[in-house]
Amino acid sequence: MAVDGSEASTFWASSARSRLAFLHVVRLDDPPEVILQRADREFNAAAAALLMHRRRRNASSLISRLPPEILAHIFSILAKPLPTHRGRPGWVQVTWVCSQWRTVALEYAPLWHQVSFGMGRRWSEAFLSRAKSVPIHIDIDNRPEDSFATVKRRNKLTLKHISHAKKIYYSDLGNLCDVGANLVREWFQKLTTPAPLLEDLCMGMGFECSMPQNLFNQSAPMLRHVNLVNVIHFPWRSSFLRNLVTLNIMMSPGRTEGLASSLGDVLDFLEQSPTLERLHLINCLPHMYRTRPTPRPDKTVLLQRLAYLILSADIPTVLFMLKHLSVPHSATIKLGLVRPGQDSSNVFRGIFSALSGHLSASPKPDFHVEFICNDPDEDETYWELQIKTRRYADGTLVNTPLLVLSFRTISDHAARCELMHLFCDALDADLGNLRYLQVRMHGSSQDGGIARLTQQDWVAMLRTKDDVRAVYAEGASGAALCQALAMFRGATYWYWHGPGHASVTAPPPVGRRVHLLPKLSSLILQRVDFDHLVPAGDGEGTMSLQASFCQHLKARHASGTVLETLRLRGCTSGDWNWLEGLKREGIVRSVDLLEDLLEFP
Amino acid sequence: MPTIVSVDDSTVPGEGSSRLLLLVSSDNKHIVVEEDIMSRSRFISKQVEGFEATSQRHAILLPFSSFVLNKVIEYCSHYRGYYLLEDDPDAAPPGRSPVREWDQEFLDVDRNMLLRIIKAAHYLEIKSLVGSCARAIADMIRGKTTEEMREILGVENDFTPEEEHSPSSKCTG
Repeated sequence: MAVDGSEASTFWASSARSRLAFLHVVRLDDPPEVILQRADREFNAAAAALLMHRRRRNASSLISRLPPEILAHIFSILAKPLPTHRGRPGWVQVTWVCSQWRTVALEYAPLWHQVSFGMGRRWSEAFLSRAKSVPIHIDIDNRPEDSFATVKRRNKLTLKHISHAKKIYYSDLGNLCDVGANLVREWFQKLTTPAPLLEDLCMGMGFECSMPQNLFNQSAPMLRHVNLVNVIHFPWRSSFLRNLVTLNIMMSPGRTEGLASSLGDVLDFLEQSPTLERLHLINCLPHMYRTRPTPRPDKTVLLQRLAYLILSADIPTVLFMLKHLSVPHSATIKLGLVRPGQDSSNVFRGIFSALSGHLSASPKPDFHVEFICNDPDEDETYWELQIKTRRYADGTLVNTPLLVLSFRTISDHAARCELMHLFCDALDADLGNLRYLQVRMHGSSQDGGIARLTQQDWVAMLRTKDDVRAVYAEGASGAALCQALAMFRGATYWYWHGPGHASVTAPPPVGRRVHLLPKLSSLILQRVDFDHLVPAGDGEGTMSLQASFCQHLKARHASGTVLETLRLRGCTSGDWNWLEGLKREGIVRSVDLLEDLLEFP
Repeated sequence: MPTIVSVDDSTVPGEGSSRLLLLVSSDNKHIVVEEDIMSRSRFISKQVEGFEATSQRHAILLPFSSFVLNKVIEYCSHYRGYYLLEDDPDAAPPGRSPVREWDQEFLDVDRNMLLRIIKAAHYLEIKSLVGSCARAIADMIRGKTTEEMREILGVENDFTPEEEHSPSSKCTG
């Protein structure tokens, strides 16, 4: 029967009064310690009664009356996103709320399946124990602060659970000394027990590590995703890794040992891996001249599910692989070409020729070429040339098949320019349906940096393309680019980074008079300061960029040209009334003013 | 919105093309609802199958109030005819998807109502609604301290001192 407040008060004020006052246990002649002992006993008994009262109350609460599986379901949601590598996962707080929650959480094994060894020994052991035999994710990330004993203990503990591991992520960037690296190598060599539930294996090593010959005792029937960094001796000839969806093997450049014995082995492996969707082979392919016997010239490996392909090797090897691989035209392709060397004149033509089928897909998309020059620091100088094929439906980007060419170790300015010209020649020859050109410039101004490019360089590089209708320029090298871009008379879309971009090394176009391309209908300006002073229209004095900009737009409008879209992102101006004015007068049809910086387009 | 008629007797009206079900709540409210609206509930579907086997139709008695039942019917009506991933037996693991926008508004109710809805959804075996409620409850306590969780969901600390300090529980919070 429920006891209402008044009844409860009456009880404690009458029936229990003597007990609360210790009247039945205390005698005046008792020594104080005896009184205290008795008082403590009373207190403990009362606490136990109170606890029972609390548990009964909890049992009546709505949340506690939910079936345990729903509580467990709620906890599972809290357990995602996955815990960070270090520190206690926050969701574990639920085990401290009340005894019922703790019981439910501890007994629901799937809740503990994500075992991050970065949480410390006691945690990882507790997770492993509570996960019982459910499929677990083993996540080990060795850090410099981890002792050898810690690494050793982790490795040992992990080996006991391979039989029910669903994912194994092991990362060691090599911050430990050689002794630590050897511990990891030893552990890897012990991965020779079957892994019947394993779906995902990721080994990211900062040092070389050899794959055991008898990996998982050749039994990992569920394995679909393999990511290996600096792991040599991949079993190309073995048959147990033939249902992979992802294969990513990445090694440091220059390695010659521990690779596949020939490209034929690699092609044979791929031929028997039709389920592959992502294939990254980075610096792990042997040179094509080492391929003996040479595969049949007409041998073609069809990877019909492939959506992403990265190949990085010397040019002949990459061309060899491209020649023998057939991938869907919608696949993204990224090619890393190491050390083009002196005879690079046919590089682009060779690449475009090898990918001619890919680039002439039917229905034929417009081609959008992205030319990126990256020069992030002196230690690792490289270029990236990207060719993007983007598909638009009703003006909206719906697909981005992508070809990226990445050239490394080119530090000489003259060689860069030469390469740019070769690239443009190849564009002229093979990409006649170019519709979009994106030029992004990064890099320092030191030692042959991008800023040294002249107007002639740009004009030569960008050639007149009457059918180009979109131009993107970032970190521009001043007036040279501005004038070069003017070559694109047909462009209707012009995107341009204003001052404030970290890579700008020369006065950007904004420092000059505003001049938009004649057919321009859409303009995005990013990080432009409209209070910036620019030369006045009459050639004398200065005026604000905002005034110059408005003046130019009005002149265009008077001649019948309307700017359909103007988007300003992260721009600054004393006020924005002028923007409303442009819209009100019909000079600009649509204005989009965004504080944040969104990806283009 | 479906036709939901409260009636005082237990007669199921209509046997036409659009079949109707009579649901009786714990507060003895009779609610008539179209069968296909409630087809998202595996419990109801099984009951209906039972009716078909015996060629008899009965009222379906449910152990929750008409207020809660009407909320569940509102949910089922909104998603009438829609495929929801969570209702699929091979659905993605819990917690993957965020609470849908409509669900978020629908579940913007007080704590007790939310808990009653999830309990009813569980009873009726409507996985998608259980999932949405569970995510809403999880969102209520995510990132909160133990004390805050207790306060939000109305539970008391009922651990013994030994349980709070036992070595075996030191890894639990």
